[in-house]
Amino acid sequence: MSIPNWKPLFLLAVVIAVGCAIPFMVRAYTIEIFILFMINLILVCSYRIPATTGDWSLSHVVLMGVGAYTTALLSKWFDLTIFLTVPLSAVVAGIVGFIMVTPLIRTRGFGFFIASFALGELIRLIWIKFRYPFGGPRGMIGIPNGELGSIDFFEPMPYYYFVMAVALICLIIMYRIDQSRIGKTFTALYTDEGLAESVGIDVPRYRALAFGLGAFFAGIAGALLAHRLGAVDPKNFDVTTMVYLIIWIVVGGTTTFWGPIMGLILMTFIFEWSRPLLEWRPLLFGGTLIFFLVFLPGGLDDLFFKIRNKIMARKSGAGVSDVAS
Amino acid sequence: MSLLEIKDLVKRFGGLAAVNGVNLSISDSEIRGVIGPNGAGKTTLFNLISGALSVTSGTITFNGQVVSGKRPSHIALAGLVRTFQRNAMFPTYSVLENVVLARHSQVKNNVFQTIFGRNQEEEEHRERAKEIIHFMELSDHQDELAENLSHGHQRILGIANALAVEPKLIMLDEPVAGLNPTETKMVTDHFRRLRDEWKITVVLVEHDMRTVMETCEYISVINFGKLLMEGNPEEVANDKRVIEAYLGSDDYDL
Repeated sequence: MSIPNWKPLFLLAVVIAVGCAIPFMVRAYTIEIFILFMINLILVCSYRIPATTGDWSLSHVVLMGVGAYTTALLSKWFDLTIFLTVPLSAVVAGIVGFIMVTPLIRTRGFGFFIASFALGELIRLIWIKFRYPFGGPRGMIGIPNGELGSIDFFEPMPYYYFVMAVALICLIIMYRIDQSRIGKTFTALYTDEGLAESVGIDVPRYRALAFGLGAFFAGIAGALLAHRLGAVDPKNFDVTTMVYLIIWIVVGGTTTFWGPIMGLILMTFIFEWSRPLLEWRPLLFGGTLIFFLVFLPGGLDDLFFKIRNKIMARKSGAGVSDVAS
Repeated sequence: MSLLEIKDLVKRFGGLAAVNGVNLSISDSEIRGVIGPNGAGKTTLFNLISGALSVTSGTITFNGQVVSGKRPSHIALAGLVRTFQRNAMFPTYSVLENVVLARHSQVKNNVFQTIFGRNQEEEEHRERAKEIIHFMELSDHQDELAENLSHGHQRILGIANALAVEPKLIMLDEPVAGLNPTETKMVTDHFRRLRDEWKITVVLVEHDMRTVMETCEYISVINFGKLLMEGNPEEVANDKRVIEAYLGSDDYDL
């Protein structure tokens, strides 16, 4: 234990190096895809936090929208810099998440799923209904892209590095949460709620905490998206977007931190490669979802586990299994 | 002074009073057995005390604090902890991780310290968890996954998880249900040590008469949601009303 844990540090260094090199190797258009990918990365990892407690919500992209709208309002009205709008949006989304989850905590499983959809739609309808200040059905435009000194974040390359830095910080924090006692408590209360209560874990409080944390990071994703697009549109945060998020999660699995990330990577590839087959895309995604639900209900995450266990068994267990049989 | 005081406890399910005015007083460092035939209201009583069910009327006072109407987690924090009839554990975690996780109530760090801080406190929890595991004689299985343990060991882990809360009183809900004689002995051996070595009050709610007679010093018998009698094992075993309750009276007329 006295040796510093160099393996994750090494991995992190490789990720940063590759991340820094990417913009120099691809076209400007591809950089945009990578920016969107990293925003989605924050989103998909933030969704896993409440999912580990067993709370699958249908309002997560709405919370992302709360972040986006907050950014739009803050930067248009108060002229705040991007370095303030992003954290403030996260805080606002986190607070809205806490308020939303207060009634939701009384429901579980499917009830939670549907109730969260209703509450999410409530927020979305408020944006559509109130032309002032939310811009009504058309949303808001003219959100500044942000700048750092003389560097304009309208250019893809600087914004790419900005998003990469934010995404890295968010992912490291979320990873720490997952590895900490709190992350383990989330999984524990899902596996056995009765036992969790009996050892003093206040289950509703921890479920609320998980939802709030998820909302906080979703808010960051929303803020980054709003600054990139320069506009927010209530349609961006409807149930269709939510379904994409759920597909990433189902394909990836939620057992480990890496599951949703793998799911997002695979589905981003499928999404980009299927551009020529635009009208077939929903069919393709639906098919992938059904394939995973039927054949790999644990997601890619689970597949990796199974393969690793097989290899381990073959390596160490050849002699043992002979004896056993 | 009594540690756990139950006054006029009533629980109704619709028209049925499962627990109907029970008074019970358990003092510090006691090993108390609560027995009764099937359907007597033992489990309901148990769930009322632990907070899993809400009381219809009456009060439960633990350590000078009214705990009736509180969440199970709050009652656990007060130092009254329960175990389960089933093998209750976090199956995908190792034995050590189980007990470390169960030390939740002893964590002093707040959310931010837990996420960003150094893990000094976690180390202390691990040390204490190892002590508990050693006490429950599970040290050989410390790093095994809980789901891979034998039936008896899983039951013992359930008790170790309860001990992680550092309770003043531990309530065991039919701890030997579904265990074979060897496993039963393995589990029951620990009950007296809990009291003798760690000064923990033990309440044993049990169906198996033999276990209760062998371990408990004082027994409360419950029948039809009411306290039938109290006494030491011999008194209980020879009491006519208890024998009647368990075996039925022989002067039945059809």
